[in-house]
Amino acid sequence: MIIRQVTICNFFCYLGENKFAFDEGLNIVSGRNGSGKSQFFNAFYWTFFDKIYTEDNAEKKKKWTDSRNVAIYPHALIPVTDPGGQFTTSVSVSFNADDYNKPAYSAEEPVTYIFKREVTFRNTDRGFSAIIPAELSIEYIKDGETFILSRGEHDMVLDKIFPKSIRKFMWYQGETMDELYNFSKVPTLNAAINEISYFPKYDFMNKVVIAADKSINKKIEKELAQQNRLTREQNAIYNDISFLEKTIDLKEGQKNELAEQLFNLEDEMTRTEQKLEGMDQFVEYKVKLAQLEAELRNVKDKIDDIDINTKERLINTWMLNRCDKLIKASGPNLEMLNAEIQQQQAHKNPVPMNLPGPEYVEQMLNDKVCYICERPVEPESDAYEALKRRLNDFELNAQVKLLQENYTELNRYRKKLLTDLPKINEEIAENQTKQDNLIKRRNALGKQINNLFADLGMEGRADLDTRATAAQQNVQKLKTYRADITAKQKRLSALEQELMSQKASLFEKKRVRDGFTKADQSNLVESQAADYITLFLKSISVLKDRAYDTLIAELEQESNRLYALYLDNKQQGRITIGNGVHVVDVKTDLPLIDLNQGEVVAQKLAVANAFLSLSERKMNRSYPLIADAPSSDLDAVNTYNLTVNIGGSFEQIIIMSKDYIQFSDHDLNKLIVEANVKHFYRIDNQYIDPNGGTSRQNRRSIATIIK
Amino acid sequence: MKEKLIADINKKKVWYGNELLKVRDLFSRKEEKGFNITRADDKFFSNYWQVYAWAAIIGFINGKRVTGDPLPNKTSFEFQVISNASENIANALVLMAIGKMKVISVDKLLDSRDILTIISEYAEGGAKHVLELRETPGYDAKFNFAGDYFEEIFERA
Repeated sequence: MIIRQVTICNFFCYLGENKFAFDEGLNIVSGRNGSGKSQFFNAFYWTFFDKIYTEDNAEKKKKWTDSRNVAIYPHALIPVTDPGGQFTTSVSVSFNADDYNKPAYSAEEPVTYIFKREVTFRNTDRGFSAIIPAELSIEYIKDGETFILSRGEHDMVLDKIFPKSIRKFMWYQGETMDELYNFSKVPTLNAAINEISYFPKYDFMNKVVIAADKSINKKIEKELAQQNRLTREQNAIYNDISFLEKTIDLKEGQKNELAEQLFNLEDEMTRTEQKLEGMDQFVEYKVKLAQLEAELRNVKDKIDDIDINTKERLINTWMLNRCDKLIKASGPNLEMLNAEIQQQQAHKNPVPMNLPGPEYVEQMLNDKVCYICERPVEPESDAYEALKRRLNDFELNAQVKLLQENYTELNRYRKKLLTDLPKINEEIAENQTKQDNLIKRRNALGKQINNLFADLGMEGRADLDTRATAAQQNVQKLKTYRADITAKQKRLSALEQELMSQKASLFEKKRVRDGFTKADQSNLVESQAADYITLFLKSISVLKDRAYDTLIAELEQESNRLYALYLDNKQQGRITIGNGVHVVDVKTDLPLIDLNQGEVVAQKLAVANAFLSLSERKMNRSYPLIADAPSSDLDAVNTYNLTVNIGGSFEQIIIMSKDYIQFSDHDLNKLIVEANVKHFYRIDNQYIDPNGGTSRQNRRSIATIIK
Repeated sequence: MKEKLIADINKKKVWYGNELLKVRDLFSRKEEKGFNITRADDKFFSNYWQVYAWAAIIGFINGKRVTGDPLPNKTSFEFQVISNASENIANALVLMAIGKMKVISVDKLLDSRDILTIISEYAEGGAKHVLELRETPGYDAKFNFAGDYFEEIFERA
């Protein structure tokens, strides 16, 4: 398949009609960032698949989007289109490819296809909108006659011309290199082998002889049965063979179905992982935000507590700051109180202090007898007076006691206050520092939260919540896929075991059957034919296995050749293909992980390109490789090597890249010669009016033919 | 004297003068039956005893005392309201008042009404001092904000 011409009209930065011619071999479209290379790539993809590779505003990540969600018209047309006015955007791609009607592997001449997608925009009250959705028309020219394909045939023709399993590496963006098929997965590798290699031919032949073998043996069985020449045991063997064949067929069907389900699941899982790649940051951000908010809440609560506590402390204690002197001034008066207590306690009395109570003393005075010494006490006597004074003492003591209690209490309060008050200033300062620090932390947290939203380019947390929820859903999906895959793999493994045992059993039964058919019924024509078919069966089975081994060896060889070329023979590993695709150390054969990005890209490109290259060489089916920034992960040397070497592997390659502007004119001319570049275009984004400002409305892309 | 001084003081009503009344209305929320905080009111003090004690302390600290005032507001609250809320403040007020007493007898020293009167005289003096301060140019909003109270307390010499 060779792309001949691309005509882009009013598409993104391409104003008016822009024609690009291409030929077999290497074609390069070079330009700086923003020059219009990616829109050139989009022109292809839009034409064939109605999709645009563009940044999703919400996810801040580039992805394939339906073109109706993207303004694909040139902004330069906005100011010059009157209200109600309209213009047409179109891209047409003409190329030579196999006739979609011809049988596979026929050697007929290729036909010319013209794919054209067109949409008309009108300037309405609500801005520019498509009058009707973009429509694809497909023409093909065969033997000088032009045919127009009906819309119903479009998908079928597209699938035939661009097989789905290779679209990803036939049309790829350097940025989406990660999305290339992951050939380390066996089902992915097998799908590619089945769709674009010569192996299916051998597989098909093998199936044909298996069917022939079955059929001839049925005939023999039928013939023998009609002639009543089968014993009961021989009949049982035929029945067993028939049953086993049916069971094996059924199980093979189940196995293929399971394998396909596994393939789809793994594909789905890869897609989900890719989706998650752009979104896992939201989960991280959400967790971070939750932590920040929790801390902020905590800090705010502490500030509130301090506020309340501070006021309480102020009113209940701090108000007394510096009142120590005034409280100390109560000292002399309290001392006066103490002196009074001392004085009142200084009374002398011969009557002991430890008498039971005033009633006891009163009784002694009434009875005029001292019950302590049992002697009479005469009124007016010293002893009588002493007893009377003791009676007063009780009253006096009560008063002294009260005074003492007051003194003790006031003194205790005084001491406590004189201990507490000097600490107030320190306490206030400490409180203030604590509060200042918390306020600083609160402000810092507020700033961190704002920065987090600024990083995400979001207004509020609702957006983040939505994204994080979507990401979590994808994580959940991944878990389900993984569980599903594990369960299916177990089932597949069990099925394979069963099949192996049943095939062994079938083989044994057939051996017995062949024994008695050969011994007794060799005169049957069918039996003789069966001998030849068995011979075919064996040889084609060997042929099929050899074809597979050869294909893998060729793929490995071609992959490694390209891998070495892309990495300028400095590769540390070797690509092995078998149970998936892996890179092993060139010396030790140990699997290499953690390859650098350049090596990973080179490996993926090498395997994908090896498939395309083999398809072209062995099956005469070529696909153009249309790549946007394939070398974006490579350095200048590797870019040079890739360019020089990639051309030889394909019938046609069209590369769009900014990586050629780094070369001097001399190096570029050398590269053009060395890489045998057929067409080299340089695209520049220019101002329409040199004084018209930098707006997108004043820009257009212009292509210059370098070669 | 049949009771301890502090117990006796606690039972007595606090009397205060009209300057304090003005300060009270300026800086304390109205005490209403059932609750004492009206939502719309964001004055610094939430109870009358607080503004009374604060004014008294200002009076003591600045040596501002209004003697001979009839202290006509006699029914506001008992001294135990202060003791119950902050023993420190109540005891400090009593001790500062005792420190200011010039008496020759213990009976006079432990006269609870005399002590309360001294506290109220300083409260009146303190209230007057605050009102005068607010009349000074540039200080008309003094004590309208919480920070002013902290400043006054923290910066006392």
